[in-house]
Amino acid sequence: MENKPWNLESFVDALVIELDKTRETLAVKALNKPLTYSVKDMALDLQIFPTYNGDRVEFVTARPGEQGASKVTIKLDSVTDQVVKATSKSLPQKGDVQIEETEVDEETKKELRKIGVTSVKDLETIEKKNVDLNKVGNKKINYSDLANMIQKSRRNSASPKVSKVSMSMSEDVPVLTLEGENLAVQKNFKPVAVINDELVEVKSYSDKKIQLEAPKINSRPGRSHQLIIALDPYSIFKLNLNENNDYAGKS
Amino acid sequence: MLTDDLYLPFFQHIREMMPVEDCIVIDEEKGILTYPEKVEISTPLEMEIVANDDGEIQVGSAPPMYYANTSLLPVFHHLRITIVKNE
Repeated sequence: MENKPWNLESFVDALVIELDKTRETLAVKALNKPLTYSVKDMALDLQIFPTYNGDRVEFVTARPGEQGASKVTIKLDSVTDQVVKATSKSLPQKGDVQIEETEVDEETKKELRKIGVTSVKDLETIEKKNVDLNKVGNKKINYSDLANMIQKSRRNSASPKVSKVSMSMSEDVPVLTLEGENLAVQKNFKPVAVINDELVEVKSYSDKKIQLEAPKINSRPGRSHQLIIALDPYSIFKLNLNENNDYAGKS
Repeated sequence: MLTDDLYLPFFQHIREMMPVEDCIVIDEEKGILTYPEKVEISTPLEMEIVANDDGEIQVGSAPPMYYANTSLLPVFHHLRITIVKNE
């Protein structure tokens, strides 16, 4: 039988599964027996040979006749659910983008994992503390490229949707109103809009509604109009408006 | 997945060490019940750690199968385990 190397994480997972099976058996025993016992802690001294393949450390169990093995002690303790809660990272929330799902290169993902960054929220926490990632990691991380890619991923998961387009008059000026979801989501970026290749004024904007002053729309009755709007650096869409206010959109 | 029948799955080995409730002594005449509160076991053991191609691991173990001084001695790992009475 080939003595395959294994990593520490897989070994501890296997041990925990074994201990859980023991606990389950003891729990069934406890149903009928008033006096029961459980495993409080456990320590295993293993005779193994550590190896390093340039990327991670793995271990090979020593076999009969093999000399020079290292001793590694793995100690497992029992803790209460309060301690688990206090020492565990919170579960991923809806809308939080995981670094693994972004287009960031593998090297950067690996460097970020090493410093405990696994999501956009983790990156924002670090940013708020004004930490220089380049001084923490071994390799240079281009933070602004990373931030751009992260923001783009986040935008993809909250893409804009236009559900209604309407026209009205305000002080004799036609006003085009777009309603929907995830429209202007960046508070520090004012959308930019162009109708029929001419820049128009954005009167008001929010994530649910954008109002544009479109003075020249009425001067082309019966013809279709093209609206191109940049909601933020990561979201631009185009709408074709015709006489009946039907619209065909492309983002 | 364990390749040698002589090794028990690790949890089964631990379970075999745990019938501590069999150590309860009841003296009905004197009305005394004696039971262990804590048991600490420190023992050498032989282990088989098998990893498949996906990296999943199965752990098998057994007490030392023999103590004879052979030319090729088995590898002895060591286990320390504390068993306590549930409150």
